Amino acid sequence: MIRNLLICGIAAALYASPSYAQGTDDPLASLYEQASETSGLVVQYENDVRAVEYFYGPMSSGGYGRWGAQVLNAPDQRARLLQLDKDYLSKLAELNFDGMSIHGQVDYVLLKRKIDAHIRQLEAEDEHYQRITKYLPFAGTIYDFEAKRRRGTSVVGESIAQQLHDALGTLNNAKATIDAMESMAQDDANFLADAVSALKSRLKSAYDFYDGYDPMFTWWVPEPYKALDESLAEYEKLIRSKSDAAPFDDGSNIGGQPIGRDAFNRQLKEEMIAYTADELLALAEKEFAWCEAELLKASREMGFGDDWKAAQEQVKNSYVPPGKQPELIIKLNDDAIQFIKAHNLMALPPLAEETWGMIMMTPERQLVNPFFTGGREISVSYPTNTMSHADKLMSMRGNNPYFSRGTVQHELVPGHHLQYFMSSRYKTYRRSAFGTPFWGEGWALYWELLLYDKGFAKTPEERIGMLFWRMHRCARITFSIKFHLGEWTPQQCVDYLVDRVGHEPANAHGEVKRSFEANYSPLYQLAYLVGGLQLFSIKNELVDSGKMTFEEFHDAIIKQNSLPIEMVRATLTNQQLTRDYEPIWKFYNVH
Amino acid sequence: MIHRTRHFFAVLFVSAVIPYGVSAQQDTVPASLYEQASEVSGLVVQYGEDVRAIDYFYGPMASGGRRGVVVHAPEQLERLQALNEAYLHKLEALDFDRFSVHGQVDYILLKGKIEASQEALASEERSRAGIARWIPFADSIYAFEQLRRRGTAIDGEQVAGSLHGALQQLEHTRAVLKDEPEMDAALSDYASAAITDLQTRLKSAFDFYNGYDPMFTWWVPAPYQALDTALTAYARLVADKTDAKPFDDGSDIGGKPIGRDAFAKELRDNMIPYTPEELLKLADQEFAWCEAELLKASREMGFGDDWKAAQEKVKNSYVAPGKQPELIIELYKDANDFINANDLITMPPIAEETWGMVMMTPEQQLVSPFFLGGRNIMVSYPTNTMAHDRKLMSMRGNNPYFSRGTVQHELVPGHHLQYFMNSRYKAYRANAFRTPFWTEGWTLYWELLLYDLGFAKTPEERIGMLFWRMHRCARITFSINYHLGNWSPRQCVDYLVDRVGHEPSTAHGEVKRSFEANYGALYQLAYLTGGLQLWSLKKELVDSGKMTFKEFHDRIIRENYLPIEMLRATLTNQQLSRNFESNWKFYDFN
Repeated sequence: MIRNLLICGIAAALYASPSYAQGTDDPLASLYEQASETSGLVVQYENDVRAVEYFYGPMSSGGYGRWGAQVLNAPDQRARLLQLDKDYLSKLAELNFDGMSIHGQVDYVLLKRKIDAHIRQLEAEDEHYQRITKYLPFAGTIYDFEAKRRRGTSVVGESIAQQLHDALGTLNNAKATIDAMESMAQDDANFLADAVSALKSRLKSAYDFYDGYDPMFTWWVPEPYKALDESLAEYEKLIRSKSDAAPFDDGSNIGGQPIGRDAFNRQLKEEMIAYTADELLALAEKEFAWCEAELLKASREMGFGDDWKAAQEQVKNSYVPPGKQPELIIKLNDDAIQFIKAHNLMALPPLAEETWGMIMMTPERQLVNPFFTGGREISVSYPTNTMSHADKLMSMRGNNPYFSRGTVQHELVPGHHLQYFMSSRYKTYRRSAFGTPFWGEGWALYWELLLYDKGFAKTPEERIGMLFWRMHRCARITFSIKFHLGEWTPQQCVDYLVDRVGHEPANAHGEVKRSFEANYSPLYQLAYLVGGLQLFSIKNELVDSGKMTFEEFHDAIIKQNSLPIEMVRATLTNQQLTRDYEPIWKFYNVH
Repeated sequence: MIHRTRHFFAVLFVSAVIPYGVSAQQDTVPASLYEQASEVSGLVVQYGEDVRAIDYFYGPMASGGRRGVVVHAPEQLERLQALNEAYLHKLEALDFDRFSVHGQVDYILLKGKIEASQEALASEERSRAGIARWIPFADSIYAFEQLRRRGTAIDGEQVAGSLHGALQQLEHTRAVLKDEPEMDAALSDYASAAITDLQTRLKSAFDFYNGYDPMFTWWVPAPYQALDTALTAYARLVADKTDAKPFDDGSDIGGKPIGRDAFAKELRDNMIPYTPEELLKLADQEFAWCEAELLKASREMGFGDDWKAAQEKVKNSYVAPGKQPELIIELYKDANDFINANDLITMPPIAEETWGMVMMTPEQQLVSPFFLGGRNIMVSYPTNTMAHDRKLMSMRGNNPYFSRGTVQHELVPGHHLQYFMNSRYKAYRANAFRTPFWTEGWTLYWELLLYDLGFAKTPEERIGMLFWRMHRCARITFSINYHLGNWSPRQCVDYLVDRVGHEPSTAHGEVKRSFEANYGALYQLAYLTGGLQLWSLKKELVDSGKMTFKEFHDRIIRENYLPIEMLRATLTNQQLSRNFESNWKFYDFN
């Protein structure tokens, strides 16, 4: 019965109205556009984690709406979070899974997997903490002081002063031990230094709570507090200096740490990708080979024979004069939208087309973002008078009309702007709970694949432009995996981008440095093409087979908000799921 | 069909009381869905987001975005009006009678919100017409901005000429304005805000091209800077033309009474079906009851009818410096034990566990003499660095008896529990239907309820709780009398000092904040009015035996923000219509 209702629900959501927010005829369908049987738990779990992190974290001193610092969990905080996770697993176990709609089942599966992953992470953290706790003999004093402060317990100033003074003594001993060490494993050094920094924040939070308000505290504690606080800062610095981390000795000046095959494969599983790292390498190679063949065809059509770099060079030099780039963006946006409408690919909400913004990227941001970016607005990368001559040319060459042809729609509509637009209007709880680059970047990349497939790139120049980005996404899979498996150094990654994709050396270097040193997850860069291929595979299954039209298909996906693509597929096919569902979907033939 | 929907709802009603114990039943919408959404909640979310998109796109676009739009450009006004029309059509197309009461309530509230927006935009259009002659240069700036929004390539020399022309117009108008008499305060405020808004839009357009377009970069900076500087000076001149004056009553408090019609309209917009005069009467009646209680307590303490002497003794009962947090915890536990012993509400354990506690800085204490609550409780108590009289004022004002009823008001089941539940149930309502009648009404209601159930036992405890209760009565009285033009600010201050027992400087701060800060005109009266609405609903549903206290409170706290009359409709599963008008008489004047 529920299944029955649900099918009506989906049908209504899919077929009722091509334009969004009409409020479908079926009240049940409109409910499932915003919530599910499990969405309340999803929201509550997230907020409960936040509450526990706030309360057991270093609470800020004064100030409206100020959250405390985000620091390493204290042992009691970790234990509390684990307890919360277990409570939620029990709540989930009590639910009647089989009585739910597919929406509720998908949320159930995702929430359970999220909690399971959180438990694994907390357990690993605890293990790590046990390993370094011997270097924190003073921690107990600070945790005890902080525990009193949380509920404002009155303290005896003289006694706190003595405890902090004693803690300083044990800190000095620990410092001597570390000082005598030659070096420390990078992992341990980072973890220990973070733990020291967390203790420093917690100590400050407790100190600020009493200082000035309690007369005896105010007389006794400031001196020993300051001494301990300064010593903690020195200790943290000392530990970091002992780390054995070093930039790779390959002349690239790029750091980062490969996570290894096991961790990489585990992360793939957590993101619901039923392939190993090695299988994805084969996928990337196969896709790359296809792109290369296409590229050579285009190069020959342009009269450059197999010298595709010469053809690409001509394309790079097709840039528009300064001041004319915004106009080009508009033209490319109009081209893509007209193409999408002419082929009935998607019904675009008029307000989404109307209200995306446009800003010019500042020269400072362009140093980090050589190409335009999108979301609420498109940020256009193009040179100013104040940029150096070399930077001016690099920016113009990189943002030439052909390279930009497939990516304006990637950044705007139906890409990141439409995602931004729809994610705040449908199932908004999923955005923060289940955000994943496989949906965020996979969808935007999928449209590049689809438009190419439908003939959006007609001239050889246009094809070379779109292929540049496509090969870049293949290369991202290859270099991310090879780096994290320990097979390539950063310099080898840079060389691959320059030699095989045609990047300018500086851009290639920036790309690799960002990928490994910034806060991207190891899977982020490969999520573009992998997510795109997943969606392409569902398209084959549902649209090419005639089960849905393109418009129905795309409308249904964009209203699901962020989630792993295998769960998008489960929703659209109303798949039979189980509570302990594991990813099994083979969306690509790697052979 | 209606019948069927009602039947669904009855099932839901029962299961919602059991937390998380949700099981999907055949033929019904799973109850857990209605805890998070309704048939109309999607439209509620989408309307809010669509307004935001238009405010962004037709506003002075910048990477940082902007908050608190006060002035809309003409094009933006029209666009918002069209959006409102479109949403009213969407609502009309819905099958209202098939919805659950949750969907019907969201429908009525969204419709009311859109209609209020229509009226506000129409009123802005009138203001705009009223200032048109003072901003003849506006169109050049709007036209420039319009090109910039979609990055249209422009001719630098032409833009420079147009900005220079705008500057000449501005200078001419300024010369005319200088010799004009004063302007109506509202118009002067609007005109100076509109000029500042134009300046921001001009900057947004200028920044878009400058540096990127070679000819623009050569021609435009000089005329742009001249116009920008002139706009700053002109906005100040226009603001100085206002006819608003601080009241000449020595209070140094400004603000502007909104008048009886506007006040009555706001009451209707907030679903309070009483006139300002009726609410004055309500406040007097409540105040008289409090006064009688106060005299009883004063006599019990041996002060006869000199309640100020009794109150003085209570004020001097403050704890030693450094001991206030401990007191807060003790009062918190008292209230919690009392609530649990009387089985009043299901307290989510994590809500009790995770509220934070911070000390208010001396700077914040200048503005907030009493503690505040939400995610955490912010404790007002003196530091060594505060002046001697400030130290004493803070300690006297935060004495244990005054704080007795307000710790629970700020924490649980008050503001902390609201903060906690609002992010977990029907979160969309917190943005869309925010109203102080729900936030402050609920917390004040608990003060009424605890007093009624005997939480204040000793005369000192009663005096403490009555202080706040009389203060809430007084807020109704002084807000209305001020806005109807009956009282000057000074009279409001005197009323608080003489009748409630405030320290003069605290009373002055209270009145100044009420009229000069950005509170709505109804905010201060929403405490007791909202509280009495809930009180009346309690009589109807709990005292009559239809629900237990626990069921009643557990339901309310899961509904998130909404006018109390709509809360009542939800709890009683009231028959509603699309064009519902507020009509609930919740107060007995006899």
